[in-house]
Amino acid sequence: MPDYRELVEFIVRRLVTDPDSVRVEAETDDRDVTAVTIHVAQDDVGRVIGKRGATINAVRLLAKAAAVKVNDRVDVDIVEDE
Amino acid sequence: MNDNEVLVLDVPSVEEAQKTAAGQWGLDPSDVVVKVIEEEKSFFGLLGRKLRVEVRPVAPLSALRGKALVARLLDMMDLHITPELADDNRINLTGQDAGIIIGKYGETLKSMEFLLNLMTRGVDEGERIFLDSDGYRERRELSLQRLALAAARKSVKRGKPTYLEPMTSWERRVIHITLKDDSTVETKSVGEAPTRKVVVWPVTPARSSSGPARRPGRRRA
Repeated sequence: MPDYRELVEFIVRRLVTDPDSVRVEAETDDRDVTAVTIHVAQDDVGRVIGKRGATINAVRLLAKAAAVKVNDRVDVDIVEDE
Repeated sequence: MNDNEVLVLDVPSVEEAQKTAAGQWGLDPSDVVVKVIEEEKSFFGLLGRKLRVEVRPVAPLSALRGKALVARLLDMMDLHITPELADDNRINLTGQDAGIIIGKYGETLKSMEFLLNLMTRGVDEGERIFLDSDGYRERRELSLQRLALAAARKSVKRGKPTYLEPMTSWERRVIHITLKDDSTVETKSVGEAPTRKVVVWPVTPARSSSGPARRPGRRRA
């Protein structure tokens, strides 16, 4: 089974200016949906989301592609830390 | 791209040279090429052999590192796909899971390419990374050309502009080029990425055999 958390963290760390602040969590709920949550430094949030969400959407698509074979459901989101 | 990437080594074997150079550049040994420039013959046969060699990466370092990055991503995604460097440093993805990495209308392949270029920006002063998967781009180009011609026919017949789906700059370019010599229509891109799309509109009255010719209003896109 693909490690969605590892995949997302690997990508995001290379997109931001402050890789040390990157934290990625993955949680699977009782309906078998894996929610991957990204935390980055305030200044990097826009960088991870991208113009009109282009970057975060691309990350989502890769996670979903990884989930196709194993028939998982996965979603990726970013939260803003204070 | 710079062509200064060359190492001169004194080694007992070609394999040794490959390993040493690949290690220094952070590449796979198969990504370097070794040329023997001097061979010191000794009376002790092969054991005493010493070679002076030149080692070069088989392609620009940025392209090879891009390939290594793709391999890493595919591995984490658990997909059975091998990246290989093709002509003009395009990275070709081949293997049983290729369909998954292409995705619907190439969406996933585009996403991966987009992310790779963001990820490597600033690291290497390299050129853009282009991904392909076993001729996908060529197939897509052909289908885009068919789409362009169909859109042109439709616009002329209806005397109305036809808006195509959002496309990447590469795809929009294929549409514009396909129709640039067609005097019955004009094309233009409207909107902003990632929803920027091509609009095709008629410039001459419809002359469709089925139905009355309706004079289209000139439209500015």
